[in-house]
Amino acid sequence: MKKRTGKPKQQQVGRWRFYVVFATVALVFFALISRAAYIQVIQPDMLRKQGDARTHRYLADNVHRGMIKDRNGLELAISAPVNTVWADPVTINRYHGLTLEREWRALADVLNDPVDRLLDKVNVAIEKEKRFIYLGRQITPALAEYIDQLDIPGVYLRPESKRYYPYGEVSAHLVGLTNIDDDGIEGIESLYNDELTGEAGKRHVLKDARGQVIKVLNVDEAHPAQDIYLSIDQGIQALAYQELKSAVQYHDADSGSVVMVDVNTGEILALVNSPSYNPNNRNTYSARNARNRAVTDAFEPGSSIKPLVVLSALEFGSVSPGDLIDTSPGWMQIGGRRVRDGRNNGKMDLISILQKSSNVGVTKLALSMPVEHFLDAYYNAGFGTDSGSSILGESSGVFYDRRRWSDFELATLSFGYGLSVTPIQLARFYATIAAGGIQRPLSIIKRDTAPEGDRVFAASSSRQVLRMLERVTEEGGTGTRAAVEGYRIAGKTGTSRKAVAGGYGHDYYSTFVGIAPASKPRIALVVVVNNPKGDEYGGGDVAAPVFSKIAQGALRILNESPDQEGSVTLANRQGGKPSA
Amino acid sequence: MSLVDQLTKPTWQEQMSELGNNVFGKGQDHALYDRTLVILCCILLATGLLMVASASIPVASKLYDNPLHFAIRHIVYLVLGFITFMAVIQIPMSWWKKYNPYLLMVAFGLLVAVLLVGKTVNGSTRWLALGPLNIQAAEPAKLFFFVYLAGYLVRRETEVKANIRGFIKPLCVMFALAMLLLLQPDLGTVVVMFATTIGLLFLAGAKLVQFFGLFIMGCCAVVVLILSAEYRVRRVTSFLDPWSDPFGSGYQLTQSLMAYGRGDWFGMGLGNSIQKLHFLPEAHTDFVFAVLAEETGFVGVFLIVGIVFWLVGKILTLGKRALVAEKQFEGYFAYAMAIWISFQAAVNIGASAGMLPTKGLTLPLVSYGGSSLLVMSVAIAAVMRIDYELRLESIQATRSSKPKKENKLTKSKQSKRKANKK
Repeated sequence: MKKRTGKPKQQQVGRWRFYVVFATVALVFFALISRAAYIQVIQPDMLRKQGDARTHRYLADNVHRGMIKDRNGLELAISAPVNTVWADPVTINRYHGLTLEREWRALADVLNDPVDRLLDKVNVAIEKEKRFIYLGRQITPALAEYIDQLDIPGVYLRPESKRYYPYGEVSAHLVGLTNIDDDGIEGIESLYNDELTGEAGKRHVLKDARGQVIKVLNVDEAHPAQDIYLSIDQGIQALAYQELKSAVQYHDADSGSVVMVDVNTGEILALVNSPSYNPNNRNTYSARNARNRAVTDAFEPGSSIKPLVVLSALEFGSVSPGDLIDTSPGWMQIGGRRVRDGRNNGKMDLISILQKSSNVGVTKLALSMPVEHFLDAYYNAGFGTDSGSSILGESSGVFYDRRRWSDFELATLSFGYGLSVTPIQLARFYATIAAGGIQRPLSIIKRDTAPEGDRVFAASSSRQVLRMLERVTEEGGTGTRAAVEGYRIAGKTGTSRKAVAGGYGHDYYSTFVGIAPASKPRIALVVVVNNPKGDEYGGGDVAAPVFSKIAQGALRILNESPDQEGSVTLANRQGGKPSA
Repeated sequence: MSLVDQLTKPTWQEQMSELGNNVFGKGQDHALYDRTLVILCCILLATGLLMVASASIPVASKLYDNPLHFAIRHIVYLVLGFITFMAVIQIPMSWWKKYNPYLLMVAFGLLVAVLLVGKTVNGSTRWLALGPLNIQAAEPAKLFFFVYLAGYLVRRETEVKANIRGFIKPLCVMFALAMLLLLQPDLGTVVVMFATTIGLLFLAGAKLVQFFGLFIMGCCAVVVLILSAEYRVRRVTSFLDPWSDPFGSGYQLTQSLMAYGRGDWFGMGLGNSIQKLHFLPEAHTDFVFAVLAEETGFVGVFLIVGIVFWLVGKILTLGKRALVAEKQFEGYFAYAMAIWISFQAAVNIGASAGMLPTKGLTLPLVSYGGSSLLVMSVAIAAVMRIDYELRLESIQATRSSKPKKENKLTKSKQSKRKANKK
C-alpha cells in the first residue's frame, strides 16, 4: 500500500530525471563522435604529420666510390673500408653510459684523444640533448671491432670508406683527392666526382617502433659508381716522376713538370710535377705542393716555340727547305730594339736555324710573311685555348689578341716571348707536328678510338719540320743530351728568362720538347724545369737529359721498336725486357 | 489541412517518444527476449575479438612468440563469458533482490583479499590469482556494489527522497569501498563507482541540493586525489598538452591520437594499423579503440560508438519500463548497468581520443580482459533477465485468464535452454 501512494510521485519525479540522464548520455556520446570526427577527418593533418615523422624513413643503399685506374687497369685510387664512431648523447644519458669509466678510457685511447676532452664533448652534447655527434672518423676495421666490444650504450659505428692512393705522390696532382666525406675535391676525383660517386639508392619505407621495415613505399634504384680509366700509363708516370724529381733536386730548381702525349690518339700518357705531396698523408698537402703545374702554370716558352715559326713560313711559302737565310752579324735592329743571337752564324739554312736556335733567323722568317698568317699559326697550334683535356685548373696561357703588332713584338713572339703557354699546350703543339699536322684534343681519360682531329698544318711541312728537329739532338745541335740510344729523337730546347717587374731577370725556365721515335712518331714529351739554380740552366743541359731518360723508358714500356740504324740489335735486346 | 487532421496529427513530443520507443523500446512484443539487445552485444563482442586479435598480434609475438596468444585467451574468455551468461540468466531477479546485501559483503571480501594476497603488477595490487585465472577484484566489486545500491534504493526509497541520512548512507558504503580501491590504487574504478552512484541517486529522486552538493564534493575529492599522487598529476597535465612531451608522459596519448589521425574516413584497413606495431602500448586493452579508429576510420568509430549508445539507451529505457511496471529494484539495477557501461565506455574512448585523462578502464564488451568480460556477461545476463521477466509479466497480464499455461511455457522454455546447453 505504501508503494501505491508513492507511485504517482515517483512517476512525476522520475520522468524528467530519466530524460536528463538520457540526454546527458546522448550528449557525451555525441561529444565522443565529434571529437573523433575532428581528429580523424576535419583536422587530422598535424597528427598524420607526426605519425609520418615516426614511421616514414628513407634508407640509403650506399654505393662504394669507384676506383681510378690507369690505362692498364692499375688502381690509382681505391676505397678501403673504415668506420666512423658516433654517439647518441641522449641514449648515453638514458642508460647512464658515462658511468663506464674504464670503457671510456679505452675508447679515448683508441681514438687517440685525451679522455677528458672526449668526456667534455659528450657531456656538452648531453646537456644540449643532441642525438648525433662524431667521436672519431676513419677508424680501421680492427679498432672498430675493439670499440664494438666495449659495448658502450649510445656509442655506435657506421661503416664508411676511406680513399687510399697506392701510388702516392707520383700521380697526386692528376688523381687528386677526396675530403673526409668522400667527395672529390681535387684532380680527377673532383672532375669525375659524379661518375665515381654513383648515386646512392633510396628506399622510402614505413618502419615500426622496433625499426623493422613494414612496407616499402618507393624505391629509387642505386646507380653503381663507375671506375674511371685514365689515359696515363702508371709505369711511365712513375719513371717520369722519379726522373723529374731527381733533376729538380739536383739542379735545386723551384719546380718541374713533365707531360707526355700519345701522338696518335691525343691521350696523355704521363703528367707529373715536382714538388708533389702524398695524398695519403694530408700533412704533406700545401698549396705549393698541390698545384698541378703542368696545366695551371703558363710560362714564356722561349726557343721551344721556334719550330712553329719555321712551320708557318714553310706553309706560307716564303721559304723553302733548302733556302739560306743570312743572320750575320748575329744581331738585327728592329724599330730601335735589337734581336741577338749568341754568336754570328752567318748564312744558315732552316735546319741550322733550329739546330742552333737562332733568334735572328726566326725573326727574319716571322717578318717574311703577313702578320695574320703568322698569328694564325699560333692560334692553330692551340696557344691561347685549352688543350681539351678538361683537367681541373687548366690555364689557357696568355696570348694577346690585339690588332696592331709592331715588328719587334712579332720578333719576340717568334722566339717565344710575349706569350705564355702551359706545358700541356706545348705538348699538344708538338704532338700536332708529330701527327703530320693533325691536331687532336688531349684526353686524360683512356680512349677506345682515336678522334679524327683537325688538320691545322700541311702534312708535308709538318714532316719537314720534324726532320729538321731531329738534327737538334744530333751532333752540333743544342739538344744532344736528349738523344736516346737506338731511337731517332726530334726535339727542341728552350731556355727562357723569367719576366720580373720591369723586365727580365736572371731566372730561367729550362725546357726540352721532343718527339720519339722520329721515323714513326709515338710520343710527344715536354720537360720543363723552373728556375734551376746550378751552373747549368739551359734547356739542353737541364731538361734534355731528363727527356732522354724518360723517353728511353717510355719507348721501352710502349714497346716501340728502335729506328736508329746501327743499334737495332742492342735496342731489340733491351726493348724485350720489361722496365722497372 | 483540415482541423481534424491538425488535431489528430501527433505532437512533436508524441513523435519523439514514438521514435524513442521504436529505437530503444522493447521491440517485438511477442518475443520472450530482446533480440536487438542480443544482436548489439554480439556485434560488440565480435568487434572486440577482431580488434583484440588484430591489435595484440605484434605484442603477442614479441612477448610469447605466439601471435594469437591474446586472441586465443580472448576466445576462451568469450566462451567462459557465454557459460556465465547462460548460468546467470537462470537466476530470477528475486534472488538478486534478496541477496544483494550479501553480494556487497562479497565485494568487500574481494577487495580486502586482493590487498592481502593480490598480485602486484606495475605498482598496483589489482589481481587475485584463482587457479589459472587472474581476477581483477574491482570488476565484480563494482557490479556487486551496484546491485546493492539498487536494492538499497528500493528498501529506503522514501528515506532517500526525504532526508539526508538516506542519502548519505550508500555514500558511506561507497566511501569504504573507495578507500579499499585507493589502497590498490585504482582511481579509475572509484570514479566509475562515484559517477554511477550519483547518477542513480539522481534518478531515484534525490534532492537536487544534495545531489549537486555531492557532485561538487566528489569532483573536489577527485581533484585532491589527483593532486595527492604525482603520477596522476602527470597524467592529467600530459592529457591537457600531450605534445609538450611526446616521448615521455605524453607518449601513449600522442601515439593514440596519431592512430586516430591516420584513420581518416575509412581507415587503413583491418590489420593494417601501424600504431599497434609497438608504438602504442596497451593496444589491445585500454587503447583498443585507437587501433579500431586507425583500422576502420571514422566510419568504424561512428558505428561502434553508435552501437554502444544504442545498447545503453535500450538498457536505460528498460529501466524506465521496469519502474513503470513497479519493479523498482529491476529498474534501478538496469539504470545502474546503463550508467556504468556508458560511463566506462565514454571514459575509455574519451581517453584514447584525448578528451579525458587516461584512466586504465576497459571498453565494456570490446577490450581484452577476462574479469571485465565475465563481469559484463553477468551484467548483460541480469539485464536480459529483467527484460524477460517484464515481458513475462505483460504476457501474463494480457493472458491473465490462463496463468497456468503461461507458467508451463516458462518452465518449458527454461528446460529447453538447459537442454541446449547440454
